[in-house]
Amino acid sequence: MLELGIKEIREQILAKKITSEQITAAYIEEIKKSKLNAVIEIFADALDRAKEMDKKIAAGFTGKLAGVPIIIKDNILVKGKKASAGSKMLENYVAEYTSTVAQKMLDAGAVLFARANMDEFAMGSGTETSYYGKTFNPFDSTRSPGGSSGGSASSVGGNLCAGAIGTDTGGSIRQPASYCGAVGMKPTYGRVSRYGVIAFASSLDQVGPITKTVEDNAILLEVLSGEDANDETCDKVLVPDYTEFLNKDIRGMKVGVVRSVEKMLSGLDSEPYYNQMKEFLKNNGAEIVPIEIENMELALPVYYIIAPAEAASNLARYDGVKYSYRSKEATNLEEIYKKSRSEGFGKEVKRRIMLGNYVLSSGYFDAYYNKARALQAKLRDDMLAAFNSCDVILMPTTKGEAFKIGEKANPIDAYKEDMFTVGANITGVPAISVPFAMGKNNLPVGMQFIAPHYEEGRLYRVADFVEKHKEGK
Amino acid sequence: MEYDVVIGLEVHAELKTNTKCFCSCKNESGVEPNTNCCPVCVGLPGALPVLNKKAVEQTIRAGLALGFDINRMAVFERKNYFYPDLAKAYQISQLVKPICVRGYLQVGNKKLPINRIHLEEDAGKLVHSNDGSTLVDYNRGGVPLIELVTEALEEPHIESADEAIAFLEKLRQVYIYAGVADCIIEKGQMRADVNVSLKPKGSKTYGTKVEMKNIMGFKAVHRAIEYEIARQKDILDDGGVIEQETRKWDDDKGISFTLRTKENSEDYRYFPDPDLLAVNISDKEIDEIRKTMPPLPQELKAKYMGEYGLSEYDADVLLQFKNVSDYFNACVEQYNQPKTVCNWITTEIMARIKTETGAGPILISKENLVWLMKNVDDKKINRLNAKDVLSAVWGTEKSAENEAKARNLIIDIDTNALDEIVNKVISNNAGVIAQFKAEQDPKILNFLVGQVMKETRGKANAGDVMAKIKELTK
Amino acid sequence: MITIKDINHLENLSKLEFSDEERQKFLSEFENIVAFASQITGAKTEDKSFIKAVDMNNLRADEPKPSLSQDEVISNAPVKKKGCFSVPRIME
Repeated sequence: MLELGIKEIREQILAKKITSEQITAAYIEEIKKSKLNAVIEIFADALDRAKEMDKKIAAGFTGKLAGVPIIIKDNILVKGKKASAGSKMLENYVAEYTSTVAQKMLDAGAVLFARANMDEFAMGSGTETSYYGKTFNPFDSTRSPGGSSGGSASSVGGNLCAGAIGTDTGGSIRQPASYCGAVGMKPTYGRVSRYGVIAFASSLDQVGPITKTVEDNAILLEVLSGEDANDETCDKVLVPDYTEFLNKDIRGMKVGVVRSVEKMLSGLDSEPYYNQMKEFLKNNGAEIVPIEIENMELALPVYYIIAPAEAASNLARYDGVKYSYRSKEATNLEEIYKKSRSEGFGKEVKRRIMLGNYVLSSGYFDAYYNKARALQAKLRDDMLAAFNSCDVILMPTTKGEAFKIGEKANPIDAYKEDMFTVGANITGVPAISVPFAMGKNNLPVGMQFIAPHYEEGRLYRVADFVEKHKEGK
Repeated sequence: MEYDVVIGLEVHAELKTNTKCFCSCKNESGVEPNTNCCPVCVGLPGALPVLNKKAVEQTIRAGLALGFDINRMAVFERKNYFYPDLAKAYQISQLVKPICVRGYLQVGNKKLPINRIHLEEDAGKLVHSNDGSTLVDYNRGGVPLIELVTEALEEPHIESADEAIAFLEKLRQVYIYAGVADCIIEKGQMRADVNVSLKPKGSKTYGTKVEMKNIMGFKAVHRAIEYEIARQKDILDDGGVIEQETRKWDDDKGISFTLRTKENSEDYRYFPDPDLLAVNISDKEIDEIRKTMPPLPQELKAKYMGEYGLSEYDADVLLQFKNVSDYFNACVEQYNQPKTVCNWITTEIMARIKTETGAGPILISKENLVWLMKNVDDKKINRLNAKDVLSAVWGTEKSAENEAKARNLIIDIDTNALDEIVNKVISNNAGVIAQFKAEQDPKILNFLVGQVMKETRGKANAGDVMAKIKELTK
Repeated sequence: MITIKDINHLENLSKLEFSDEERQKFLSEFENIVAFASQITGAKTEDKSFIKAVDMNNLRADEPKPSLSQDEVISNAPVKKKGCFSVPRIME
């Protein structure tokens, strides 16, 4: 039963084969037994909510997530519940309001029953920077689940929930999904509201689903998507029924492959799987179209300028005055600021705040921040131009299988985890990671598809096809 | 040595809107602390700003009132610094693309150039309490604020404390008339930062400027400028060098002291706010605002003096307070005798509403005042009685007409009855009459008129009575 | 070249404080990170950045909506007094 996904659980609940309470209780039991440390907190009222949903369902409610137990990342606010973004800084923070995404899921009948571990303020690629301990990979407990949405992906891969919500600023949904054998979607920037989602880098953050199947992913994204009067950057673009893109072939689909990306990939563990994917696509009637996006390799340094700059400003509000951790040692205002922030933030967060303030500070602003913004504009133009000759672009999601915990102690090594994923964030386009192969260590390897803005449907079409027809299926 | 004084002003004014700049909390003061607050203006995790259209309109309106060009695309930036009154530890403001660029304000015979007006959010309020704590109230946090920056490094510029105050007074008047801000100084709704530099008389090179921040009230601004001019003069006369710095004015002690020097000046790390979109402003929208612009003081002054024939002095008195000129305009609309209306307002009304710091509300309806003016002009009520009626209805719901009738003040005495009374007074005062006939003393005439008025209980017209007495004593 | 003085300045801007030992270690790491970011400085770009805009007409209407209650606003405050957030008295 625990292996079931969103669609099947909903169907079984509506068919009265199980109740929401039963399945929620089963997941709670599983989490309690689990050694993955994927979950920071099971909400105290989880079963009450499930019972309430059972009643509503008995009364005829059939919402898209009716009774389905879903885990949310620890940076998504639900009124009355803690949200700490994996940080000591917000250890005791209880949300005063509900995020738009949580509200949409609740309205669709979801049981949001736990919050998932994450890299502190989503800064990390291994769920190793959380104040609440490391999360482990469900396929190999010596390995990282990836990050920053490692708790969400590990929960999905480890069957601790029907599906989960993550956020993706530079790859934080797709990379852990790839490592945990899950489907992870980073929607178009502007597809999903950010209101009530603890910000890392505002111009790059997007909420998205991490699920067991492509179909589940399509169902969940449809619930999450749509305009929001509380978020100016969330666009007024019609939300399609994403399941309509499923169960189609890929004949005639033009799949772009980027030369510079293939150069970056050369010699990496994921290279053979990427090549297999090209063969697979070709064999199934897709056309492989070589393209080039100039400076694609610079997307990563661009990201490590823009994201820290915004983060330095976004995280300045955690000052020990209003709701965040206040140092017991502080006796005056300056000490409240400096001691609370020094004690409340972990190393990686401090590193990025410092970097962000460096690239924004007078004398460096033009050389770093403005230059990065200019490069971003160019990458965006080139990305859009590339889609003139293809429908989707294929890239690996990661360099290979999940890495060993502790292996990425050097910050730059950790940053390079995002080398194939940041491009979509920097240019705002949607991207999906779909499980494709098992690597040499018998760990999952995902492949990534990228589409033009608001063409998530194309991604579901190709990912669904891969899921259903890949080798071993 | 003789110096040229160069003064620059940065003026903040809170905009008149229903809601705050980036959230839908009420823009209102005087309520319990932290009750007009929401996730956005308290800077809660995950909260996002959503720009208020009215705040943009009001900024454009302020710009148009001062002859500004309006940028067709405006961008909001974050100004980053830590202070407890700043919930997010950054202020949303505008640096590179403000809404209004390049305007001017005519003060006396100077057309003073203004660099920009931009829209930003106000900070919260800090209350320093005696128990060793500072309390933070975010009700004011996020209230829309416009910042105007004068162009000090061009000719002409402000050269004295008096001129600076004249600029501020005039600016305040424009904002109030344009309806963009109430500018109540005591409530901190208009605040000025000042910078002052001196250069040798006639020199083309500008001196080092010293800034003074957050001076409360125009009088303090005046004092702070005079102090700073004198301070810099002393230093320069002694062969010293002016340090670029920010000083704080202590109005109680009448001195300023160093707050920040150039070396430790703040680095605000401005960058475009990624939570907000840039704003496209079209010609059509600007025209709409232009069309609905209320008449500004300079236009009204021209009308009062030209069309209505009022003196400049009277026009200025009427225009000093917007509620007064609004009232004047409304009365003239009902009773097209601008000079009469002006007289009544500048004497009777002003005397009742003028306070030390401004003007209170006018507590008589225009209908009542118009009725009184009309009936005095029509000789239906004696002027002195009309003033009594005004006093009686002031601050009440009473109608002037009913009040005059209740007091039996309407002049309705007929000619025969009046003749009878005049004759009676003449025959009762034979001695006085004889003296009047001999001396033609106006004092005696006034005495006689007074006697008649007393008999009629003020219901006769004094002019008529005087004519009658003169006629009968020829 | 990034110096200890630069790190001190960034600590001030960031309202963070490192111990001497931390600062020394941070410096060497930070140099690598800045060098990594500096890869972009040579790239050819035009002087423009992507910015999305909204027509003024579509901005939020100026209509009040309910605020949070005072209790909710200060519910997470580490120290609160008289309906306000409280910090040690600021010397002006």
